[in-house]
Amino acid sequence: MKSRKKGKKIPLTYYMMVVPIGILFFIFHTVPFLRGVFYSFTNWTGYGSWKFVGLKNYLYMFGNSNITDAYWFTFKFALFATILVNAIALAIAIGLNSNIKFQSLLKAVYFVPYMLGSLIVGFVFKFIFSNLIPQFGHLIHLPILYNNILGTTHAWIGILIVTIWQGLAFNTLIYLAGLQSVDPEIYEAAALDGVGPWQKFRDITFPLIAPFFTINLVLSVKGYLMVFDQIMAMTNGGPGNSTTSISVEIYTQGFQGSQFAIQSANAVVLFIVVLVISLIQLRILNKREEKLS
Amino acid sequence: MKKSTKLLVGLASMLSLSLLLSGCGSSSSKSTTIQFFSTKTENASTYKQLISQFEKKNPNIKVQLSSPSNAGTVLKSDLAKNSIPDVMAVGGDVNYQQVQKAGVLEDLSGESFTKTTMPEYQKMITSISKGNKLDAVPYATNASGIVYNKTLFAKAGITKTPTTWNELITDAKTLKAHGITPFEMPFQDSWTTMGVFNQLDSNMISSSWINKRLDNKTTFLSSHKGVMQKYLTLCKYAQSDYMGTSYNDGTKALAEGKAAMMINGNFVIPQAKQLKKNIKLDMFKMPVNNDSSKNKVTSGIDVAFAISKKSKVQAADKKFVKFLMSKKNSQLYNKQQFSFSAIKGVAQKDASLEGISSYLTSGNVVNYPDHYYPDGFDMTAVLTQTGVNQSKGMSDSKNITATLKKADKAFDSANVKD
Amino acid sequence: MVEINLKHIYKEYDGNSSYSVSDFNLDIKDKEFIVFVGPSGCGKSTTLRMIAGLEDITDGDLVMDGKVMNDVAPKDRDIAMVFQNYALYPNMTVFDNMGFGLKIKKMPKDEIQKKVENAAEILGLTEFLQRKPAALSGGQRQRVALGRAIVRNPKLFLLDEPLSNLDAKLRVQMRTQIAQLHQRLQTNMIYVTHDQVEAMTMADRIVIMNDGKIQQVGTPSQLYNEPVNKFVAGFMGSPAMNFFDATLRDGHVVNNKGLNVVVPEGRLKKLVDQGYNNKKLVVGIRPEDIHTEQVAIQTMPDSVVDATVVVSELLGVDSMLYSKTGDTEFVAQVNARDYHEPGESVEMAFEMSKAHFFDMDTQLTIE
Repeated sequence: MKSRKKGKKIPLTYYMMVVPIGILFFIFHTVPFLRGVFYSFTNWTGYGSWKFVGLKNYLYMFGNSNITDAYWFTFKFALFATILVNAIALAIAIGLNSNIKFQSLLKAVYFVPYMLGSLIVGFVFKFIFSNLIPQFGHLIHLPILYNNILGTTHAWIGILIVTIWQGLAFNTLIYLAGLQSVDPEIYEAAALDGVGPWQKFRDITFPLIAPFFTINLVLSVKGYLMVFDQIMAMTNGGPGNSTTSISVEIYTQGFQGSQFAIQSANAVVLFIVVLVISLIQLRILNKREEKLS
Repeated sequence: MKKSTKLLVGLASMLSLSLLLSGCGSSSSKSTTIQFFSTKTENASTYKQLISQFEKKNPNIKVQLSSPSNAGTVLKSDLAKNSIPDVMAVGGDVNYQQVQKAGVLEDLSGESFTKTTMPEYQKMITSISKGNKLDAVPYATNASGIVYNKTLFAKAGITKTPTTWNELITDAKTLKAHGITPFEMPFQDSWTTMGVFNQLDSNMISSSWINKRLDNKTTFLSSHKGVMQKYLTLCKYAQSDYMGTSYNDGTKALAEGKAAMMINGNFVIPQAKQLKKNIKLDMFKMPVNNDSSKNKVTSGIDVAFAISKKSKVQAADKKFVKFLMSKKNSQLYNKQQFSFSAIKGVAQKDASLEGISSYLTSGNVVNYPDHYYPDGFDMTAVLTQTGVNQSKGMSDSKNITATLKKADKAFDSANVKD
Repeated sequence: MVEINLKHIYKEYDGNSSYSVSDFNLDIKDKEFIVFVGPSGCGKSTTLRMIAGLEDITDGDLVMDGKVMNDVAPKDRDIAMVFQNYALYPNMTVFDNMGFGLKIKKMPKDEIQKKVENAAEILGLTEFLQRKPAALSGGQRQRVALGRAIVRNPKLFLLDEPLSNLDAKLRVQMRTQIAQLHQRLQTNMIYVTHDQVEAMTMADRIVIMNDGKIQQVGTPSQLYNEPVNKFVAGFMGSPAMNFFDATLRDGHVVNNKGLNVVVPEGRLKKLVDQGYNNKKLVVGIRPEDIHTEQVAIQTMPDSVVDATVVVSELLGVDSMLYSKTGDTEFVAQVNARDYHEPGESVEMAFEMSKAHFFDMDTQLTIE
C-alpha cells in the first residue's frame, strides 16, 4: 500500500511542472502556427471576407521577384553572418581560454552585447552610422566614411556588422565551454610532439570541439535565416528592397501591405526551409562528430 | 483534497482567470468610455487637451486616446481581432481605405457636423469609399509644397519665391553658389521620397491615369519619364549623403539652417520649430510646370474622423466628434498643429503658411496620387533604389528606365485581382 | 642515452608562499632507470614536468649532455613523455596517434609507417592500429601511449605514474613490460610513482621525496636496508616498519606501554657513544624481523616479548599478526604455518640486530 502511493506521487509533480507550460505553449504558439498554415491556403487580407484558393499563394510566391529577391538576400546574409560570427567567436574563445590577464573581465565585456535588446542595438547603431561615423570620417579625411552606409548599396554590410557584434557573445561562450572540455594533458602531449599553433588547432582543438561546433552552426544558420530586428531598426528593408530579408518581407507585406495570406504562405515556406536546412546540418555534423570522437 | 491536486487546481484556475481578465475591455456600469484611435503621433497633445475639455463638459463620458507609432499595423491587427475602436482619426490614405474596405464604418452623411466640411475634401472620401458613402468626415488637411528658410533665401539674394520650374532651378543654383545646400532630402526614411514624387506626379499626370493603370491600359514607363527627369534634377541639388539622412536628421538640418528648402508638407514646420523656435520658415506652392497656371497645391486629408458601426456607445461617439469639429476647437487644432482645416471658414493664419493658405481655403487643391495605389505597391522602395542608382553614378536615362520598369513590375504584382 | 644533471632546482608557483620543490640535486647516469617516489604532493610530478619543459624552473639549472636546457622548448629536448591519463588524441587512430609527432617533423610517410609498425609489434598493438582510443581497454591505451613515446626515439623517457589507472593484475603485467622495454631500448627512463613496490622492482636507483625535498637517493636495497631517516624507513616496505617511541635505559629500550627489549651490544655502544643513554628515541623494526618460530625464541631470549594477537591475516605464504604487547601495538610478518587466533597469547622475538634507531627530534637514523 505504502509503496504504491509513493509510486503515484512522484510522476504527478513532474506533470505539474510540464503540463501547464505545455498548455500555454500549445495555445500561444502551436495554435497560431496552425492557423497561419490554414490561412496560407486562403486569400484573407487580415480582415473582411475570404475564400479558399488552394496553392495559388505558393505559386504566386515563386513568380514574385520581391519574395525571391528576399530569399536570395537572406541566404547571402545568413552565409556571411554564420561564417564570420563563428570564425571570430572561435578566435575570441581561443584567446580567452589561454592564460591572458583580466580573463573574467574580458569575458563579461564580450557578453554584454548579447544582453542588450537587438532592436535597441539596431537603433543605436543606426545613429552611429548616420551621425558619428560620417563625423569621424570628416575628422580624419577618409572619404569612404563620409556617407551613411545604410543609405548605400552596402547597407547590408552595416547590418552584418551589427548582427555579428551582437551574435559573437553567445557563440563565443559555447566555444569557450568546448575548449575547456578538452583535457589539457592532450595539449601537453602535443607540445612534446612539437605541434605548431595552426596544426594544433586543425588536428586537435577543432576536432575535439566538434559537438560545440555543431550547436553553434545549427543555431547560427537558423537565427540568421530569420534576421529581422536589426533590419527593421536600421533600414526597414531599404534602400529599395536591398536589405529585405524573408522575415522583413513577411512583416511589411503581410501587415502593412495587406498580403496576409500570401505572406502566411511565405512564412510556411520559410519554416520548411529552416527545418530542412537544420536537419541536413544536424545529419552531416553529427556524422562528423561520430567520426571524431 | 490532496495537496498536489489542490495546487494543480489552483494553477489551472489562475490561468483561466488571467486569460479571462485579459479579454476584458472597458466600461463599468455608470460612465461610458470611448476608445479613440489616432494614426498620427504628432497631434496627441492637442487631442489630449481637447479631450480633457470634453470630459469636463461631459462628466459621464471618458475618452481613451491611443496613438501608437506603428499605427497602420496596430489598426490592421485590431481589424483582424474584430475589436474596432469606437472613434478613429485616420488620414485620407491607405489606413482609411483598409478600414472602409472592411465595411466597419458608420455612414455619417446624415450627421449635422458633416455639413460644415468643404465639398472638395468630402469628395476625397466618397471617391474612395465603397458605395460612395461619406463614412469618414474630413477634419484637418495637409498641404504639400516647398518649406523654405526665409533668412537663407534673403542671404542668397532671392527676393521672390519661384513660380515656375525654371525659376526654381535657377534659385537652387543661386543658393548653391552661396554655399547653401538647396534641398535637404532625408530619403533614408523612404516615405519622404513621396513628398517629392507625389507633387511632381499630381502636377504632370492627369488624375484619370490611375484608373487606366489599374486596368493595365497604360504603364509608368510610357507616361512618367518627365516626372522622373525632374525628380532626378532635384536630387542633384540635395545634400551629399541624402540616401543616408533620416527624417529627424533632415528636419534638424533644416532647423539649424544647414539647408534652404525641404520638399514635403506643412507638418515639417512644427517638427522643425520644435528644434529651433525662432526659425523663419514659410511654404510656397511647388512650381512643377513652367506654365504657372497649371501648378496646383497637392493636398490631402490629414485627419478624418470615422465611427465604428459596431460601437456600443454611438451616441457618445457622435457627441465627441461634433465637439472636436466645432469652429473653436478646429481653430485650436489648426493653430497648434500648423495644419489646415477641412471645415469651411476655419482659416490658417500663421505667418509660416502664408504662402500657401489661400489655395486651401479656396479649395484649389489636388489629391495625393499614392492614395489611389493598390495595397502592397510600395513606390518608396522603387524611389530609394533610384537614389542608390544615382549615387553610384548611373546615367539619368538608364536610371529613369530602370526605375519606371521596376515601378511597373511592382505595381503589377500588387495589382492582384481575385 | 644522455647524462642529466639537476642542479639546485627550485620550483615556486605564483601565489604560493613556499617552494613546491626545493634544492633538488641529482646526477643521472647513462641508461639509468630512475624512479621518483613519494606521497601525493611531494613534488615528484612537478620535478618530472620541469625536466620535460612543461613547467618553468624557478631557480637552478637543468643540464643535459653538458647543455643548459632551462629555456629549451619541450619539443626540442629530445624527450618523450607517457602521461598518467595517457593523453591520447581521441579523434585519431592508434596509428595516427603514434605517428603524429613524426608527421609534424615532416618525416616521409614510409619511414613513419616503418617506425610505427615496429613499435606496435614490440608492444603487441599491431591488430589495433586502425582503432580509435575509445575502442581500446585501459591497458591497450597505455601501450599506445608508450608506443607514441618509443617512435620518437628519444634520449630520455619520462613516465608520470603511467600504471596508476590500471587494475592490480594489469599493473604487474605492465611493470614487467616496461622493465623489459628499458632493457631493450637501453635509454634513460625517469619514472614517477607513489607506489613503493613499483619503485623497488623497477628502479636502478630511487629518489624518494617528501614535501618538495629529496629524502634519499639510492638503490632499492640501500633505501630498504639503510634508510637515512624515519620517513624513508616508514615509506619503503609493505607492510610498513613498526615504530616505537622508547627510552634507552640499562641496555634496554623501554616504554611505559609494555615494551622492553634488549639492545645488542654493538648497537648499544654506538647509541651510548652518541649520548642517547636515558634519552628518548624512536625504534623501528620491520614486521618480517619479528619472529614466532621456536628457533628464534631460543636464539634471542633477551628480545622476547609476550604479545597478544588482535587480528590475524592470512596472505598465502605469510600471515600478518596485528598484535599488542602491553599497550604497544605492532605488526609481525610470519610464516603462514604459524597460525594464531585473535586473542591468543604468543611469544615473539624482536630481531634487534636488524632494528633501526632514529633521533626523536631530527628523525634521522642514528648510525
